[in-house]
Amino acid sequence: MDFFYSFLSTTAFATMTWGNGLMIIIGMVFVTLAIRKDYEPLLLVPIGFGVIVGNIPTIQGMALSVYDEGSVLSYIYFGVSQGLFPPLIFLGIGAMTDFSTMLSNPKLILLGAAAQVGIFLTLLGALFLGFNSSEAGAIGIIGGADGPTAIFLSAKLAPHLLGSIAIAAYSYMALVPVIQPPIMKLLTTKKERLIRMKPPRQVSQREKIIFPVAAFLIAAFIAPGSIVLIGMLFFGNLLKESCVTERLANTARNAMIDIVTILLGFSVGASTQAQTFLNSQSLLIFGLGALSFAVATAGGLLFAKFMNLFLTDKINPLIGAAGVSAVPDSARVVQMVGQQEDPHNFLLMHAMAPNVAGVVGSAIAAGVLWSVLVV
Amino acid sequence: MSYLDSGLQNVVNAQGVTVSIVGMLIVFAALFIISIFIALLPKMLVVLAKVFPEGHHHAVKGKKTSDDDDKLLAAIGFGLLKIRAKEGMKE
Repeated sequence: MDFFYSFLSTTAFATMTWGNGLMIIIGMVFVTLAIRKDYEPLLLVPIGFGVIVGNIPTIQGMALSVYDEGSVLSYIYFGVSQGLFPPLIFLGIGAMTDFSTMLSNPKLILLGAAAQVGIFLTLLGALFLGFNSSEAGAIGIIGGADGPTAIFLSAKLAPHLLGSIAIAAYSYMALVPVIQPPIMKLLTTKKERLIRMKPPRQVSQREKIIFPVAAFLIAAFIAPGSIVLIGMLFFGNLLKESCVTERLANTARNAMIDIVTILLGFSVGASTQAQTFLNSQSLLIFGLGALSFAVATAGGLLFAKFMNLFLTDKINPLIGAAGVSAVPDSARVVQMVGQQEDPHNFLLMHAMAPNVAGVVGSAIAAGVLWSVLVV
Repeated sequence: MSYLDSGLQNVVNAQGVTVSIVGMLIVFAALFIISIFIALLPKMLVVLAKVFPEGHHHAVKGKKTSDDDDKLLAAIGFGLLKIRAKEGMKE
């Protein structure tokens, strides 16, 4: 009988806290949103299930959770905590990204730079709320709207906040279609939303091959902290555009990125144990994350309007909202909002330019923050 | 000291404003230089093409196009027609 009682005391029923229960419900909500509403299913299903797994109370003395040394999950989490997975995801993103629209209209790159204002204003907000400078930098990067970048930087600057920052970043990325449209409509007039842009010019293969090497050199010389992310992004793109490494590019953009996404999503989810996740800091991070997304969207839009003051060929300011680097969701949102005004206006290809520029911009911002704020 | 004061003091102590402005300027500078490079790239390629003319690359040349498929289908169709015509003559 003693054996039975001893066994009962080790079950999750005996050691469960209300916090674990709440987190399991949150995990289920993520999975439900992904399946029912199709919100970023490739991310929310692994993260949601990881949250459920990570909140089953473990047995004292057994290495089970991501934080227990020697546990299987801790080895998977190693790729997150040491910043190994995000660059591999960037390699895959590079291998699937077509920079043609950006190459055909280079002035749109500046919209990707303007949207990074969300990162730096959120950094100020986080400092104001009492976070230290490393934590504030890690929280600010949520405004980059780039999950792997957010994970990479928080693993380097504030590992104890990694779970909250990763969940906030991916949640808001999934909510791009909800967060962005009201801001886009608020900051633009109907006339501006109706602007039609010139179709992009044809880009030669030579341009596509030279671009990743040259852009990497420029970014790396200016912000050496970004070489890991930017290097992998442009390396992946060179694999794609060189036409001689199609097999490697295919692996990077399909099998590899899928495997890494599964491991990253699951282990990030599993790191959100109630004991470390449910606190006032996480609530503040979620609040600041929402603010940073809104500021980044507004930054891109307002800069597009500013550019229009000087341009003869006006740009539709809606595409400024795609400067946040949630690829390709924010570009799709631009297309959707644009077509609500004019069903024959196709903004998607134009929006992809600031969208991919945003990926580069947020990686450079992460490199700058890492080199300046690391203690 | 009020919460507002302590918050502002934290921003000042961490040189938050400087980090934000300089950080934003670096991001802008990097992307601005990249955009200038891209704008100049077609002109540079014109000069480059004079030194290294752009020939057909074996990897690109080897790629099948839908046009190739149409030609192949036409050839197969023509072959089948000839075989049938021969068989018809024998009968």
